[in-house]
Amino acid sequence: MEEEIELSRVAMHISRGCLIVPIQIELYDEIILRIQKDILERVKDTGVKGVIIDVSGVEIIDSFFAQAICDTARMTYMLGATTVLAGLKPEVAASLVDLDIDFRDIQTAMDIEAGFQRLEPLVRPKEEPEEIEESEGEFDEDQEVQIGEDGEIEEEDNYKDEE
Amino acid sequence: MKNKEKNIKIHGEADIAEASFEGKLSAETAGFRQSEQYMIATAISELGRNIFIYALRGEIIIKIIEKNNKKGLEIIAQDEGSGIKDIGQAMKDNFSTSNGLGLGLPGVKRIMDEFVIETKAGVRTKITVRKWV
Repeated sequence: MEEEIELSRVAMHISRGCLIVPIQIELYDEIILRIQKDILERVKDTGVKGVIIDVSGVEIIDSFFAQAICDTARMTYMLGATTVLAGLKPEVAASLVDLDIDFRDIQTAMDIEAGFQRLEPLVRPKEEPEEIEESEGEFDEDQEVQIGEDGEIEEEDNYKDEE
Repeated sequence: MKNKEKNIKIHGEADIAEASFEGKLSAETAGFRQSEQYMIATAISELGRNIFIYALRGEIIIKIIEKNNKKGLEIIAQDEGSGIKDIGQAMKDNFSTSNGLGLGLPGVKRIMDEFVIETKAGVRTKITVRKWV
């Protein structure tokens, strides 16, 4: 398919319409910033709508790394792709809270699979728009069956169904 | 070797990673749970980053300590940079004087049990933190 390029020692690949970025190593700043650049280029080149950064192999996320992830998420969003951070370890989550790092503008998921589910509606929007169900109940009472003077039953909303 | 003090000179980013890794190992030796080992490593990473960003060079000293039969880890981060002018400010969340990153000090304080900061404006900063098993 595509030529195999070693991207920042991180093998990014596209699966189910999402760019998967598995990060398995403790990262130096320089590598983090290169990965950030690579993600953006890949999003631009491929037009993917979803990015999943898999950090299940990462034990330490300090404020610099966290900031870089948040920045990357914001940047990909500007290019039209949503980023999900998948596989945060409990101790990493605890550290991030202690460090008061705000991850509110980035979506998170338990693992890659949950990340796919999160991004599914964006990556593959449903063809037929969902029916609006809200109004059903409201109109039930108003649209009573009216009995005409000649005894015929007229259902006012009949014509709506034909549309 | 086990209880030996580790002294890591911080001159670049790779040194931050090394200090953080050594801290994790010492924490393991001291008997911290795995999750705590990584949290301590994260705190060391923050301390190292502060040195690198604000002073460019300094050192991190890691040692296993003992008090009342309790083991712990002491980490000293010191540099001869410009010092911290306003400690009160520096300990506030979201405070930062450089490129949008927090100093991370309040976070380090939350992760560790004890936190002492000594600074002389224009001369040096020494931060000592301890955590008990």
